[in-house]
Amino acid sequence: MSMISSVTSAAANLATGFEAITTPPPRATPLLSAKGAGGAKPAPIKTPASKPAAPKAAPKPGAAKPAPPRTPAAKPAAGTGYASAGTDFAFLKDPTLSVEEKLFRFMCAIAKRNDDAVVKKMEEMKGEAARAAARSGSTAPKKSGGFTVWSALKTIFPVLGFTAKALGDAKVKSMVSQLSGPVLAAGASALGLPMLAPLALSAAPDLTGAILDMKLGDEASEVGRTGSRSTGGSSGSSGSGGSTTSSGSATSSGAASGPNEQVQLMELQRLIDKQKEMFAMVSNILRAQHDTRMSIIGNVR
Amino acid sequence: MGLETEGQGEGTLAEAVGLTEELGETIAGLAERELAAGRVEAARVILEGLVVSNPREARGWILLARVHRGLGQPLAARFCAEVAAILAPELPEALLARAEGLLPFEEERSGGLELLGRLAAGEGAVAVRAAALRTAAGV
Repeated sequence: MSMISSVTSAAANLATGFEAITTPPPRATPLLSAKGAGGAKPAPIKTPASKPAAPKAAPKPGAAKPAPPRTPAAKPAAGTGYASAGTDFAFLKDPTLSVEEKLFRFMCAIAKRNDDAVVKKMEEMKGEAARAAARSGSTAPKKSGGFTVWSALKTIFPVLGFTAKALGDAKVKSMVSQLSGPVLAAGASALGLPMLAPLALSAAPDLTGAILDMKLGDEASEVGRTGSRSTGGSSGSSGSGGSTTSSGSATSSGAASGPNEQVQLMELQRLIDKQKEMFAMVSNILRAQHDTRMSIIGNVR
Repeated sequence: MGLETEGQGEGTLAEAVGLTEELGETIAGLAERELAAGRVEAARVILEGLVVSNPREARGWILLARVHRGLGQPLAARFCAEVAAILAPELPEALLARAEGLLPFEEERSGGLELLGRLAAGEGAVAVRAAALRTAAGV
């Protein structure tokens, strides 16, 4: 009889577990708040306000000199940046919960995390596709070279209060070679410009010279082109030169987006497989538990 | 377009690998001791790792600014000091690092000295160092 009652309670627990999938776990709330009050750091709550802000306006070049101008939008990223004791799985220590309920809650938490990862990946892919479309679809002549380390630095520098122009290209170049790529990337992240981090990361000392030389050369040729345009003598030929350059960059980026897309699709596939594996695992555990109980019931009979 | 991918990189490597604040402080302390012992390269390696793991660590940036100053790289030092000052604008050490970062640049020196003046009016080791720097600069 007691065995049957334990099975019934297990079933009730399973039902609670199913409820937990659709509704937030009611028992976890006081637990979490108690833990928070007990001195453990609460998990950082992600709100739109905590997102690192992109610079809204570059500082005016003619600003007062005593201290270099600061962009007010250059907010550092929120939080200490260190790992805090996670409270997502606090229910695992709850003595009032059964194994089944803990398993279900654990599954819910993992599933939620996996879902978020899948959605994020899809958003990433969407952004990538839009970017590729914009690259291939735009016919307007654009600056050659795209978004390089140089343009990343030009975005970071005003935030820091100094201008690359005032410092001189040689100094900036030496700085990039002195600071390693990861440090520059970390700086970009710290300044709330994480989108520039990958570019800054590519600024490894051995590559920097070449990249900067290339960009500076491009800018010099751009200046030359502008000059020739202003004279009005060969606007047609300069225009065609510009379009040739832009189509060249579009072709190269198009070729690069193919494998990139493949990689992202594989990543998405991996995330979905992970989810499937988790469901299979939980299903197997529950089936094994059920079989055990059924065999016990059968033996009792 | 790329600027719209906001939200990426919100988490730090320190969060991902479970590096706690205490551990970060310990690592920074270790780097500080290396720096004090004159092993600048060792301090640089440690501090670069620290700021890459957690770019929001102002102390790491301050120490890295000191390392670059020690290596005779004023612009890199200024970069690090400015990042530190943005991350912790209320921290006197960060402001001191920023002022020290400004001093090597002719056009920014007045700003640096002004900042040192404000810091010298305060208390503690930062004020002492700021006053010493002002004296050395002939103010």
